[in-house]
Amino acid sequence: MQKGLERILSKVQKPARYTGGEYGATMKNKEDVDTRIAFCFPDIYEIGMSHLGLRILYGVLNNIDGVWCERSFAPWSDMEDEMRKNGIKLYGMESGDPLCNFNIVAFTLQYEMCYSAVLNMLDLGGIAVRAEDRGEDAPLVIAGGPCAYNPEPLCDFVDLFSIGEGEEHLPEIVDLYRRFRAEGKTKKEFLIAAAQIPGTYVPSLYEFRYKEDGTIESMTALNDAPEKITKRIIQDLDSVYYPTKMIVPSTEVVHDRVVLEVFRGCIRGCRFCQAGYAYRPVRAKKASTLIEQGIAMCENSGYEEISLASLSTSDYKELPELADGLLDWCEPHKTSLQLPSLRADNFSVELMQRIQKVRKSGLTFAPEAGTVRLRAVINKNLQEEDVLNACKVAFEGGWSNVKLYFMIGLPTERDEDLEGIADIAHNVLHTWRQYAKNKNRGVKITVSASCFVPKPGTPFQWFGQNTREEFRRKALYLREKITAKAVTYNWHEPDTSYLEAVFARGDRRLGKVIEAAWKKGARLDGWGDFFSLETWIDAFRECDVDPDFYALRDRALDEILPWDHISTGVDKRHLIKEWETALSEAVSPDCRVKCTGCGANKLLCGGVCDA
Amino acid sequence: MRKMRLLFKKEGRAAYISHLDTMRTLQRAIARAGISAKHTEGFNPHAYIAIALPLSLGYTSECEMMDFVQTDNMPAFDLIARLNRALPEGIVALSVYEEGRKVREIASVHYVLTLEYDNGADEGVVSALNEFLSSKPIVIMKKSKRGEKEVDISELIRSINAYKKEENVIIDAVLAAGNESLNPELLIRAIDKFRPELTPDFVKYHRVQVLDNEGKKFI
Repeated sequence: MQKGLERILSKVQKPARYTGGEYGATMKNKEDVDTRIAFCFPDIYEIGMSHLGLRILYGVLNNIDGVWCERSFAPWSDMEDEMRKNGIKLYGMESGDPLCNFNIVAFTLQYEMCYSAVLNMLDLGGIAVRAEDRGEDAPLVIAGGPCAYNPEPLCDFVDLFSIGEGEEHLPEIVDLYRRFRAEGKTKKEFLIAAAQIPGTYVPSLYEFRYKEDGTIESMTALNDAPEKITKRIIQDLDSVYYPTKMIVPSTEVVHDRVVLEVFRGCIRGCRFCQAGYAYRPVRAKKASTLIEQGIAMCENSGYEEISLASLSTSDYKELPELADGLLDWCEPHKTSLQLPSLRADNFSVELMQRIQKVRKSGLTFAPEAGTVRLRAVINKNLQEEDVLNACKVAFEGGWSNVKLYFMIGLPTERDEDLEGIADIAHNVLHTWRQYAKNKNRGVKITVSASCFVPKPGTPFQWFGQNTREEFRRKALYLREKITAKAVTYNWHEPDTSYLEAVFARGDRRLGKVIEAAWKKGARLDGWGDFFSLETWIDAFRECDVDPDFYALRDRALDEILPWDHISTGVDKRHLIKEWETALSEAVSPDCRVKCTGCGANKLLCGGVCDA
Repeated sequence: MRKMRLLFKKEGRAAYISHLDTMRTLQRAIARAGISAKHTEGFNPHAYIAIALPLSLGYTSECEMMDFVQTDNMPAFDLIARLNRALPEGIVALSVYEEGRKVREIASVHYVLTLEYDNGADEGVVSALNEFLSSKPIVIMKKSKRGEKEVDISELIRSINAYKKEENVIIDAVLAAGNESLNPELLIRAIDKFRPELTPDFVKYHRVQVLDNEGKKFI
């Protein structure tokens, strides 16, 4: 513990966020390790400790002899103020040593709104935020995660990006790092060599030229760095490391339970969904592996709740076997099983009835759009009849709480699509009136509308986002259309979505904006407590950068996009085809019905996708 | 069904685990350790446990007590060993026994306070502290659920002694607990109110022992 930390811990809220020492945390002897890694999550402890990727990579890295991986999280503002006032640097939770004393500082980028927190954590850790200002003695700063599919906005700050799944890639990077350091090589030499490891993006080895209109003229790779960086995937999820011996936080975190990852990828092909494209191809774990791991994790953690994680749990082929196998253990061990991401089909409702014998938690559906036409555009194959059928069964079974999620601002959207959202809500209410067993308890239907953010690597990557005024107009229009008292309507202010859209499809010219906004006080922008669009608008103005250029502009199909050199394995030709199919209001089949030839299967040895 | 009492200590970074989080942590440790304990009813059943005197956030202690109901005959040494493998850093199971005394027989708690003075403290500070802390009355406002009221805390001090240890000053105090109890932080608040020149820059609180009304160790 750094001197003075003890004193500030008794002044801040929830100090257990900052102390470490949890059951299952990895402690190593400093004398036994030569490489210290700080795995940094640019949000607070309660969010970061709920993240499965952190737990996986923490375990993978700590399994390497001579390497000690610790964790670090963004402090809440009260802690940050105390740390700055008392000269305490941000530290790794296991040892308490400041980040600047580590060899490698690794960030996971879960969403665009964390960028200011990345800079703030580096600075709090005593590390220069700009890569060019860090000397040979400064830690190597690396980053990965979903935002790394368009890493460009962070290129000024990060030395190296890990593209795709990290279980194999990170140990390769660490291995090269140790070898080069032992041989006395420079950071530059290391980065040039690392660029040759598949899945590595070293931004300083790429140069961009821009046209007069601000679009990209050309990209040049230097020092033999690859022209295209293709993401890494794990071929066999049954044999890859999974954290069955986990850290159990001593204070409550958001997902305080055992999480079992069932499969990666998704067969559905919803055109707005970055995860659905970025995590292809579909790779499932065997039910037998999952049952074994789930039981071990409950026993090792003491948790009494298991949650299955995937993009669409209903699409898991062995779901009945898995649910049966887990329930056989869970019931006598007083452990509950949670199945989020179920589709609205009959099997799912029966399954829910079986697993939720006592408490009736809410049902959640995400039709995403209000009409058949718009759902065809976005390729969301969840129809109103499915929702109403599932609601019927659920209402008959005693449920009385339904949540419906929608997006506004989707491509080709018209006001009748907004009216369609209100219609669905009213039809759910009507279904309740028809079928509810006990009407005295009332019904609660919640409609949530979020503002659509076009994401890179999806068929909608060329689409200009709606203006904030248009979002507000649509949100208020929808509010007028929802008349029933039993329906609660929530909508999100578009400010955050606008900024998210800027950075999602931004380029490296945004680096100076991020730095300027951070200097003006931006941090933890994912939290309403801190987010201020004005701060960011000031920063854009100061840097003479037009955010509308990034958020609102429709891109031409032949434009060079800032992330074109990063490949998720999905062909750009396929994205163009899907975009054109979307505009013709036609659906594409899911991967199990018919392969649409996205190209991600080529990432698999053998090239055969098991959708 | 055996009513058991576990004696444990809380030290180091575990001091920052709040009372509620400590309860949750102990329940999970019981599950991890494979100890058969009576569970609560309801949708989320968990081991039924009770902790006698909740420890304030940031305090360390060597005399925490947790009651639970053991439903098998696992021997005590085995139970302690398993529990210690299942507990986080800083929470250590010391002993476990049946037939603990009734919690209402607790009369006082022995604390050791470490007062840090950044500019140093001489013997004058120590004697001034001793003089003040043994004076009567010491009336301060005490907040409770029913609002604020005046309390003479000198009536709740069973014994008290300040002395110097290295560069710090130690206050060794036995304070009333149970029906009318005295939080050791009130001692510091009283010092700050009546003798502000003696107010330390930082205080560490440590609970040493729980006592009955004859001043004997409560078990």
